[in-house]
Amino acid sequence: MLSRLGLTARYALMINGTMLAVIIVLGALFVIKLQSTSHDIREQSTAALHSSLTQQIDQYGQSITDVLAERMVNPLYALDMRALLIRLQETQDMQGVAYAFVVDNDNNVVHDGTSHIETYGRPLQVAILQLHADLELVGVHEVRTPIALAGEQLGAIHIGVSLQSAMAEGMAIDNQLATLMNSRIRDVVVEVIGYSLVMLILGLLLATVIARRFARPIRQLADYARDVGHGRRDAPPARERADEIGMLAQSLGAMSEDLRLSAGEAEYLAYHDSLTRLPNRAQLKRTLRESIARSKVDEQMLALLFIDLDEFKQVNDTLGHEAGDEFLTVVASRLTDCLSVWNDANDSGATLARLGGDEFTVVMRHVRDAAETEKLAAAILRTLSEPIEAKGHAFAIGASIGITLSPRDGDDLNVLLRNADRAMYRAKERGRNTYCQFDKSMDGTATRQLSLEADLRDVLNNHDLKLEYQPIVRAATGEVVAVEALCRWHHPVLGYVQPSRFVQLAEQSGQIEHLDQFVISQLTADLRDLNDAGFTRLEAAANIASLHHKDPMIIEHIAERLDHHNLHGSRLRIEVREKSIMRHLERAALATGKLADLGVAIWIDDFGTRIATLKHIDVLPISGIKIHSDFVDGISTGKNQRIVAQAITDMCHNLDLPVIAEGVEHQPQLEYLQAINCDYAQGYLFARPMPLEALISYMKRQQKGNDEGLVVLREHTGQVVP
Amino acid sequence: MPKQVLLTLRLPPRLLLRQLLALMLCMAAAMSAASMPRVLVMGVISDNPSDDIARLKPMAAYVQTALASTGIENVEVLVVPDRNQMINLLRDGRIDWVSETAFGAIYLQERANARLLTRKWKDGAATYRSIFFARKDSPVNEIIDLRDRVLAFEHRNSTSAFFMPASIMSSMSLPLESLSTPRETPRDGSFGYVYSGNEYNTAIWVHKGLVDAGVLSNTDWQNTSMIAPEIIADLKVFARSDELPRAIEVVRGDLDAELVARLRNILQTMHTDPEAADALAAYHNTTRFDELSEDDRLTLASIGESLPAFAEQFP
Repeated sequence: MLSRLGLTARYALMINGTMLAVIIVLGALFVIKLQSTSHDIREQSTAALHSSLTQQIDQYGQSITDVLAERMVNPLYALDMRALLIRLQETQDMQGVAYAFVVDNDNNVVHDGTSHIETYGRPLQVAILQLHADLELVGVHEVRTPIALAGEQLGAIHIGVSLQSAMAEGMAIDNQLATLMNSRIRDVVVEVIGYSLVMLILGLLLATVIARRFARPIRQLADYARDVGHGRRDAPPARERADEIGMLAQSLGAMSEDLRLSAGEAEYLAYHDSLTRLPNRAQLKRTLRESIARSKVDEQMLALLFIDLDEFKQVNDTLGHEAGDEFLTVVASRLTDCLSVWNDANDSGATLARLGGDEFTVVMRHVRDAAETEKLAAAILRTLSEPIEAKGHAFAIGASIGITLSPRDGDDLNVLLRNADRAMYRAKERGRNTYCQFDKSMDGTATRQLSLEADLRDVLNNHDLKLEYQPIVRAATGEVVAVEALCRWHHPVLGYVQPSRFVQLAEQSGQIEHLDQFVISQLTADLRDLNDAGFTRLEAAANIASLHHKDPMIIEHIAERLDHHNLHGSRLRIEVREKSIMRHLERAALATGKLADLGVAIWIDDFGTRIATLKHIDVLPISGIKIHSDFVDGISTGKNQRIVAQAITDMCHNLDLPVIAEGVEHQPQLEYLQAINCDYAQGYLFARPMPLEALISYMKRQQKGNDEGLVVLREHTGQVVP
Repeated sequence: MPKQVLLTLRLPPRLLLRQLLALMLCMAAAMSAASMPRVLVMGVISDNPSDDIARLKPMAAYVQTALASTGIENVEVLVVPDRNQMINLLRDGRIDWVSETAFGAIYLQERANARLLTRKWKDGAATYRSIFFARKDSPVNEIIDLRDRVLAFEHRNSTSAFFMPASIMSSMSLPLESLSTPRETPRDGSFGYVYSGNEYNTAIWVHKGLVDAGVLSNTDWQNTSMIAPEIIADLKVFARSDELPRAIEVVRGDLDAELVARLRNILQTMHTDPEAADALAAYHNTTRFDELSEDDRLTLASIGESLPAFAEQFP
């Protein structure tokens, strides 16, 4: 409940609660003390009253008996009972007198005040009890005076004065006193409560004011903090204060400043490439969209240059991704410098961006004519023609540049990007390291695709595709146990074409079985050669994409090729990607079963994205698992990936399945894999993919090293591929 | 009148002086009566003159009115301190009319030659008597049993509680002995007596055993407001006197006969006159007046005869 109240209310409540508690305690103490004091006073006054009343009664009684004793001398002497009766009755009628007796010297009753002297001759105490049985003798004060004649005692007058009436009077006074005191106490209590209430209300007001004063800067700071969340960036209020609130304000200010900086950073990252610090694709689109709009308004031409580096793949493959990144950084730097020089010289505002990979763009505004764009393109090509150093290696690569103009070729962002891309391809086709203006002839949606398909068909027919082999080693020892065949297409115009790209193309164009058959034919032939070279136990793996096809011809082809080359099926490993196997589980089970009959081992490739696959392993004749390279990459950086890698390994081992880790590039990765008992490893750390001839010599060196007791884990070729 | 002289000589010197003074007064009155004989004087013995004058005044006023036709111009009340004074004044003709007890009336008749006028009813009774009583557990059963014991009279002026019982005991020639207080005891063989002072004391003394017996009038004996029933319940009556008139009006012997007859008539018819009621009530709570009965006269005569012996026994 309290936590839901504002700070002001809580301050006020706490202050008032404290005040209330103090008032209640003091008030209670005061009232208790007051009551005890009044009680004491009452007791003392009652005692004093009692004592005084007793004394008074004694005096009163004594005065009565003294007079009576005088008046009764003669009657008693003469035994004038009537006179005694009259005196006694008069006496008994007196206020406060409970009884009156005349007694003789033996304290026996002479007259008791009754007309027939009921208790005549009896002892006084007996007579009193007899006549006044209902009297509370405790409340009676007895007084007596002797009756004497000429010094001789005749008897005595003995009376009882009731304390009750006197006491009743005393009690009445006492009660009056008590009533008065109680009423005074009540008045005082009421007054105290009244003052307390007034003080409490004043306190509440005061506390509210104080609490509000306390809370106001905090509230302002809270508002400020909320506004900072919504983009406010000025200095906070109350930061000049020297107290804790000032400290809070300063901290908030610092936080806001940090937020401002990191927000800028985030925006920067969102629109810039982290590697080269150049504007990224998103920024390009923004710039381009804005520029198109501006150029429309200004009725100016705008140019988009699409730059694609030639043969950048070679750098990556040869020196690894780090070198590739370094290379790209240098390229970006050169392009930036080039643009800067150009802009200065031409008073232009051309901007550079990196689309991704080895693709860059330049947006030129206020373009006068096409020639101007070609001048810049030529300048760029010149800049990039200089060899670039990365990891101690110098690479001379060129670039192909596609140029498109707006509004000449279109005024839509995506159209311009596509046009530039096509023009770039045309430049590549023209022999690289050149530029090309877009023209309408390129404006066919599938132009490039069609030509690539045709090209793929050609290479398959002409067996122009090449296989390269990457060794798979025992993780613990580095011993080569198998190789994986990787298909390479070197396009005469486009250069190196990514396997993913042409495999996808083959699948789309119905050539995938053809491609698979080519791979198997080539692989078995190469395996034969390896066998002949003495590596009779080396296994070779190939990735087959058509295994899940209905009635796949590839299985028959495999059987036929193995038979043709007189190779046992166990020399062959077929890798099937986890994704395709799971999508067509029944067919895959059928096909893998047939392969297993041939003695061919089935390995699951890129494993790890679908853990659920494991439960189907029973229905598939699986020989092993290849962990997805993402997990291997992540070993050195991500804790989760490490855990996943270990979990996969443990699970596979529980199923008696060996595990291969691919993409191993660094020693720590290997060490971790060794630590988790990963069986095999594959990657640049051991060897790059290499042609058959290179493989044979590599294997021979390995064998020799092994024979010499050396374990060769790494092999740097340092080869520069033109 | 040797008896009167004897009585006078016996007076103490103080009384003699007072008597001389009174005599001088009477002589003065007689001289004035000679010139203004038309006044009737009521005498009353009292030690409380204002109360007694107040009791007699209405009667005096009534009689004055009733006697207006006879030449009586005024009826006056004269207070005298004692019976001897009364006797003297009666004899001197200074007092004409006195209301007396039976014994008082006889005494005045004997000593002052007064005449008995009419019987007076008091408290509704024409006559009363003396009651001798003792505790029920007392061995006293008759007067003679009081030998060696003590009897309580009331006081010397009481007819029923002294004169009457004392005259009875006197006529029996018993050896009486006067005692000062009940605490005293009589000599052997004598009959002790004390004065209690009032009826209440008499009854209480007997009841509480302070004396052996008491005597009261029958009216007091029956008056429960005076003597509590609890006391009466414990007592027994062992002797009674004859009845005697409650009270008697007397006039001096030489008062005009016609006036006497007229006065008697007025008094004896008063109870029939509603206008006389207040005067009667004030006059000692008188009920009516009537003629003395024959028994009354006999009783009074016997008292008269015993008077000399009585006077000797109770000086």
